[in-house]
Amino acid sequence: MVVNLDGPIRMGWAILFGTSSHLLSAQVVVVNGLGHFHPWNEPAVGHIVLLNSSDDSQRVLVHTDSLWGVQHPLRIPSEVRMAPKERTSVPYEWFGTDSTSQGLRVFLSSIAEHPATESLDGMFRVKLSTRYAVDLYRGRITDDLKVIWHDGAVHVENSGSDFWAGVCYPLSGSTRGTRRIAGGVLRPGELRVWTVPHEAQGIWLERVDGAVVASLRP
Amino acid sequence: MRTLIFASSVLVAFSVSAQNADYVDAIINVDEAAMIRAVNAQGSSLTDLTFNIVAPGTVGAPFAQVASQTMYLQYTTVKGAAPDDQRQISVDVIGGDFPAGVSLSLAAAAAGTGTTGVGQEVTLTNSQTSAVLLSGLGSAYSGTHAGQGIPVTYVLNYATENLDAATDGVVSLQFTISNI
Repeated sequence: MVVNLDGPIRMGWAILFGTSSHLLSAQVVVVNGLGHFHPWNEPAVGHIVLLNSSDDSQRVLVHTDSLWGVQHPLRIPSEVRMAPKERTSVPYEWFGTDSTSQGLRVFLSSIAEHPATESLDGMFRVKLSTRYAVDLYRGRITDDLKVIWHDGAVHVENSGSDFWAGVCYPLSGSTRGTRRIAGGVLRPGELRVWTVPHEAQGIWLERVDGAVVASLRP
Repeated sequence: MRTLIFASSVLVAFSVSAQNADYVDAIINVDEAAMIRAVNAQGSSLTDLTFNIVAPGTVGAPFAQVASQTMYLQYTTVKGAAPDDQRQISVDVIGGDFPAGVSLSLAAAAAGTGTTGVGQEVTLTNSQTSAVLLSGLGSAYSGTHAGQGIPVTYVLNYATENLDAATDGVVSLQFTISNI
């Protein structure tokens, strides 16, 4: 409990959403995208490119989490030190080289090497920070999509055990429309609901490797 | 990172020193950048955002609602090819607890130049500790000056009869930019 002495009857709470200026001024930037895809039959290596745009040296903390299922091991540094204005690559390598579909999220957060001194002034101070999430995918892309039409929208569910990555376009006659409806990655079991333009006769789901499935509007 | 290769007559002027070639390839690298920071209304890095829930001055009155506060998330993003072309900003409670009877609503509104996405209003509690604040962000930037960025308005929600002064009010929030 924090006692607020400024209140009318000298009682109350002070909830402090504080930020540490050295955290928020840390400007390490991801410059080669937030999603990396690796075919299952190619070397399972890659890198995340970082730029320290600040005038201070920075420490970048790296930790990983599974996007679905068991977390597959990945070789990646747990911490990277960056000089001012330095651009560097953080290499990673999947240990598992079979065709099993794998998805990991790599979180990157930076802190200054020489943080400013903080004064708590007898109050609670809570640090608020920002971070980047880079998604790494490796393995087969699923074909197992369940498509259900409902009230002008289409429900697309990944019912397979691998991920699906691609874009949804409107179907115009038997060809692909030009304006995309949505896109992204569907992890196993994930469901997305996309509104389909009234004039579209269906949807055209195009995977990143070019494979297409289409569904006509009922 | 996307690499675009142009071999164009427009670039012939650059080839005058090349004795054995009549064109030059210009290789243009575009960073697929993602950057974000939190600032206050003056455009400075945010240091504190404090809410005081103070007892009323009149016996018998409920605790008054505290005023909302607004911070800004400044950002620059350049998307890649689909499906790496839509991003979101989420917020997580990564430490501390809300006092009993207290929740926090955050309302974000899309702002900036480019594909700025759609903002959401979310409520964080001790049981709801993660939410997507803005989605559909493509290639866009917020600007760097005061008042520029995604405004995020904080509203503290509580009812006097649900408050408990014996519980601490320490919360740590983290904003994450990721692909959808």
